[in-house]
Amino acid sequence: MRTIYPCLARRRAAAYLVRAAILAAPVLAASPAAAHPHVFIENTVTLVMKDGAPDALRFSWIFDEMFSATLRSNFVKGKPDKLSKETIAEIEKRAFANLAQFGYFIDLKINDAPVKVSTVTGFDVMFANGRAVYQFVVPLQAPTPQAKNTIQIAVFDPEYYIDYRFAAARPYGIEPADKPVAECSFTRDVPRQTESWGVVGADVVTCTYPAK
Amino acid sequence: MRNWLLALGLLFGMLAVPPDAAANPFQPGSTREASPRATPPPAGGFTATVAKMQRDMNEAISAKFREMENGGSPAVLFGILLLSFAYGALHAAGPGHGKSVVASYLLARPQAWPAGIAIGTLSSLLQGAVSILLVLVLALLFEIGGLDLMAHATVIEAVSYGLIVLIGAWLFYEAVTGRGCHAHGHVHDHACGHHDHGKTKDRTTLGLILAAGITPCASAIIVLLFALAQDALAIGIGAALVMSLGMGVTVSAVALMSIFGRKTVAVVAGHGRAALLIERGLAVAGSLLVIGLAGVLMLGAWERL
Repeated sequence: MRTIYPCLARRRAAAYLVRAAILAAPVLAASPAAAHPHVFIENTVTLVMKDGAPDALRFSWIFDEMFSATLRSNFVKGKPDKLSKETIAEIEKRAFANLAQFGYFIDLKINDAPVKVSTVTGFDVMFANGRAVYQFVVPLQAPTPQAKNTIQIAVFDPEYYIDYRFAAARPYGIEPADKPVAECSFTRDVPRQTESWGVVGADVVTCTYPAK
Repeated sequence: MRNWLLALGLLFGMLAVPPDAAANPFQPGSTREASPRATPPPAGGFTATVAKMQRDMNEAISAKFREMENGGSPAVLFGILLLSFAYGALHAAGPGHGKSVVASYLLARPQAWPAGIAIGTLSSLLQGAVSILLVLVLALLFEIGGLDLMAHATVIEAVSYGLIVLIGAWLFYEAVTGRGCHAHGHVHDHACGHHDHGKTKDRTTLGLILAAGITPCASAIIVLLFALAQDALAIGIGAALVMSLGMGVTVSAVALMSIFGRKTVAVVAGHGRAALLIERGLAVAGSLLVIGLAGVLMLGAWERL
């Protein structure tokens, strides 16, 4: 069946398919450059109350042993008991400060209004039982308390390079501890959409506090 | 005509594999583009479960390494290897390891199933071997730290995807010029873009395996650095290799899905003009996808440098 007819039709349809492919390619390519978790962090948040309003959040991030070894190999020589100020500053600069552009992955809502985390203070790091521990403080400027107030705290990397979860043993703390003016509760595995990893479970700490 | 549309539908269904790259957000200069996604992927108990299992396995592997440190047994060693294999298979099930690129390649270029397994397994094993080499040379010999080492790995990643873009361009050239395409007459399910019919070695596929394989794998590097810190490098090397093998199983599975999906399209399309068009369309679309996906991944790696 050697006719010229199939060739012509083929070319027309091939052109159609090329167009379809060109249309489809950006759609597929636009889906984000995503990543599976390479880092696992256990998280504890401490709500610091002052004059009846949230004053700061203190975070403690405990890394998994494997990534801790990666971090350590980059910054710590030998096995010192305590890291020097220089080493801590170096780790802050080269393995923490960059998170500022992501709001440190902290999702904060006070009375349902999102609060952007742009500054942290008092960064500290130590290695304990083979795990790196980051500690830092997020200063808060909470709005004037209403009759009933809620503050919602989650730490979540939408790209899912880092898997955050609140520590089972101590997900949260409240200060001052002797007469806490806030009450917190903790919800494990709230479904949350990642950029391209589908839905994963993310933990949320919710605290409530009354007006002064 | 209906077959034709069904085949097209199947084709685009198969292509819904997200692209991927790993970005370490801790390091200075590491940015992420805002990534709009028109439709969110369907809610997944699957991804949440895989995520959880990975976390547990990560813990379990480190615990087993500690057991080895405190005088381990062959059973503990076997446990490390078994867990590493499973971790690799699971880890690759998420976005990563160029599965979408492999799937697109196999759309563009019809291959028999052994080739799919070869691509998945060999490229993953090569990735493991490169990770080991990188850690041995950079960490052990030059005492370069883990984060810096991963930055070096990113350079190689960019090069790797660059090479795959070139392979995609070659596939596109083949597809458009119809090299090896039987222009007339009856249609095989491998009529176009497949000029060697398995008689000669498929150099393009070998090229893909090498290009994809030179990328070190972040997970393997992390395990190796951890093993190094535990003075258990040999076990780390074993774990990294077995982990790559696990990843190879998953990538092979995706490759086989692509191959059989393509076969199904060919069967549905049947014989005749439409089949030939679809064949040609697949070759063109697949090659464009290889270029597009690898290109995006290359730029992603480049941005992280």
